[in-house]
Amino acid sequence: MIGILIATIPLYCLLIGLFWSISCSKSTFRKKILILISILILFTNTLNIIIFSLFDFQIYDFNFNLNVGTFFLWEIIFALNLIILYFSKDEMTGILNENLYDSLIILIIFSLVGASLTSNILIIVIFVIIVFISLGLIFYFGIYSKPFKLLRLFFISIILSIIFLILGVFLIYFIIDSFILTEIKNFELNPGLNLLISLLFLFGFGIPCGIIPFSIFHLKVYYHDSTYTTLFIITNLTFPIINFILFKLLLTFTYDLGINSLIILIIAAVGLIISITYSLTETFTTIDGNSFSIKKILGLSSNSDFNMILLISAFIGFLPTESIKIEYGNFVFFFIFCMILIKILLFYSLKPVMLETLDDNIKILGGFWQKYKIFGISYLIGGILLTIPFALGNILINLISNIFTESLIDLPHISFIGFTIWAILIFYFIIILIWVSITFNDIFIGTPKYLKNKDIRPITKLDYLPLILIIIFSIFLCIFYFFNSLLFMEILNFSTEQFTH
Amino acid sequence: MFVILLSIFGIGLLVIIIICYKISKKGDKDILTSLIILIGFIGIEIFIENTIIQLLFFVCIIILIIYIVFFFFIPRLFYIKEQFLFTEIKSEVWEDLKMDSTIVEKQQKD
Repeated sequence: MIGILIATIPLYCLLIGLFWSISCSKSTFRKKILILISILILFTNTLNIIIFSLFDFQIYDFNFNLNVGTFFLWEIIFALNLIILYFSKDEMTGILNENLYDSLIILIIFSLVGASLTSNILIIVIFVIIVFISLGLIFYFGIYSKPFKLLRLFFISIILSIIFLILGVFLIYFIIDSFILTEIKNFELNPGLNLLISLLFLFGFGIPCGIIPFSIFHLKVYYHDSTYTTLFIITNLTFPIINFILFKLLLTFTYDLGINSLIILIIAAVGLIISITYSLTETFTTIDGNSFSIKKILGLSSNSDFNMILLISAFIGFLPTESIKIEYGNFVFFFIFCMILIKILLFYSLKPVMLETLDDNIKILGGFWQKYKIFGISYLIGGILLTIPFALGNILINLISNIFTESLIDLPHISFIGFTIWAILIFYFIIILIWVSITFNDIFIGTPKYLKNKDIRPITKLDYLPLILIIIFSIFLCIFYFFNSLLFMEILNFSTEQFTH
Repeated sequence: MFVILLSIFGIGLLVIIIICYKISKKGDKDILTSLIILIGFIGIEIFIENTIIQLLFFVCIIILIIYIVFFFFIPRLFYIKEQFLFTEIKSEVWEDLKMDSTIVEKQQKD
């Protein structure tokens, strides 16, 4: 019990931050305290990681998953929180209802942390609903007022997703009478019901994040008209964490059923094709109201990330033995973490654009290379790293040799699906490399034609800190992955023994 | 040890909530209260083991979220003139909000 209290100190601090951000109306003072609290949270969570990994602690009371894996995920969320606050300090200071904006950010962080902490499906659903609604609300904050009807489609998608989630919860209650993931996993569900529940949760979590039928169509306006801070929250924080939670749930429902995985695979593949097509048309053309908007390109690429991760994670249902499933599941988590870190690096490198101008058309931006060399270099590094995330963890050698050549040699159809997914993944990285190089060329090297903001804050040494932090995190991630090969499976409540039996 | 730690945490949180109430504006107090209730409900939900009660709390929380969004956030976000759907914003709260908006407008003009 004492362990739970100490381990959840970051959550306690977040609560304090939430109450503080609502009540304090003095902008500078509030932001200072919030940044202080965020640093404290990051520090205590780092201590948690060190203590839990040194003494090999794991706490599963009250359906909490308090282990090193969860703390690692929190560490990334808290680091993102710090970066978001730093972003909002530049972009969102002086807006109307600024305290509500800050409080909604903290509420989103709190909900995501809570959803990743528990293995009670009811609590996860509540937190995710709070996150979706908060995402809809934070869009409207900014220096310009926006009409409510702008996000009509987005809110319809949220309502639909809430209906799916509530239906899923009630179905689980009537059939299984338990909301705990491990108990649901051990319950022998009829395959049809299993498919129905997994689809309900897939659509419930996935529709606002860009899976079909809505795909990216409800998010285009969101990306185009939101501020960089809001865009950062939705693309780099919310989508990857929701992706992680979705993977955790699908692992519960579709673990042994190939048919479920096949349907998820098809849904993810169609979503991926649509989002990639739209991100490419946005980068190269002006058809269908596209405007070379860097915000939209970033947003749409995050949708393709979501679908890509779903595609990779759905393959777990086809794998024949438990040990391969564990190894593969672990790889999926590593992939999610890599994607989060590298996408943050890419996004943060565009901070000069946010500071210099309100324009987001890549064709009129340019010339940042002369003034912001380090940001330009880190953008390039991000692009290169994104194309070879496997190199970070020796993944390519391990997985290809273990999974695709040795164990699946007798199962040609599964081997075929596996190799198709890998081919799509490589194709996807090539696409990303294309848009990274195009945007780099336009923004950092091209000739500037944009309207400059009135008071541009000069870049300080503190602005480079997040770049260094992200690189340090990446190194930490690799070290942990090397020394604790099942680190990411600990995030799930399934301890290795439970998982293998 | 556990009880001591829990009471320290509880008292600490209570003190902070009281301070927050003291310094917050009238419009923000409502949001603060509703969020405290919401988090309290979620906290209770975590510690309950009976599935029926869990489900009941789930329904309550969903209703509470809808209430908070429609009655507190949307009127504040779109500063709807004095009246919104079914509720009327108290005049003193409205004065507070109007003051905020004029300050921001001035800043934007500058």
